[in-house]
Amino acid sequence: MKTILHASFTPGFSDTAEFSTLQLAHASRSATSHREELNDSLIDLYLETKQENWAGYPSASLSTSCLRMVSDILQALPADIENPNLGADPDGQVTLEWYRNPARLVSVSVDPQGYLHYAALMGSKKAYGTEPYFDEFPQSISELIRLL
Amino acid sequence: MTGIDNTELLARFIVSSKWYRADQTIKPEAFLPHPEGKLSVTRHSGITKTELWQIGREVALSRQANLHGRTDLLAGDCRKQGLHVVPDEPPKNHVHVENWPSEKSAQKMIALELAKVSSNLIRQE
Repeated sequence: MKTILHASFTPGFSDTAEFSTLQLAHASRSATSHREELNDSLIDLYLETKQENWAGYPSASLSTSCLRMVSDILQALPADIENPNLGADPDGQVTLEWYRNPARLVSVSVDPQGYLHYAALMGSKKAYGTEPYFDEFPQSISELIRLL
Repeated sequence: MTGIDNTELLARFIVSSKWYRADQTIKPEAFLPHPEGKLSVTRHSGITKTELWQIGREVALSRQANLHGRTDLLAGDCRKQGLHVVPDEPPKNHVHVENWPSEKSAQKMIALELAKVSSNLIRQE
């Protein structure tokens, strides 16, 4: 299962034109169809963070390489794990969040180099660290999400 | 500007719709330091709520951002995470929260802790 994010961006193009060039092509839809709704969220996120100072101070917009990485990671999520909410960090990384309440959540930031920086609160317990992404979603992070 | 007590309220202005959830709780991303390694907040001390909101509007205007509201947290909650709360005027009542770890995951862990104890989104009256 692989989702490929095709993107081409030309300076001076309008958001609408850029939007039309941002296409998510699915090689197969059977096992990951419930992830498809995330594609729109990802594109919305890209467009919002294109605005200068979107985070209130000089902040990085999402790169197309990061979008591709996130798209791949979303498709690699184990089937029993629910869709995350998407967000963006001031440094231009995409955040995947699994949330129950402010004291029970897992947050994963995806950097364009393929590292997943995660932090989790499970009531009084907490965990954080960094895992590389090599075509499979790290099991250590999957287990944290399942504990929510 | 006087020293900052642990019981003093600090406001973090929310300038992105991505920084709060539908249930009005604040997301950790709102508390991550900016690329220079500092988090900007504003003291409540010595100013009225009207003045506090005016500062928020000016911050948003200067950054060409929308002011969605603010969240409040205690200076002591920042210090519990090993952070330093450092007055840095102007603008009036501005404070930098400093001493963040360099590792992104450690920054996120602190941001989760701050989001947990911060108030829900407070919108302008």
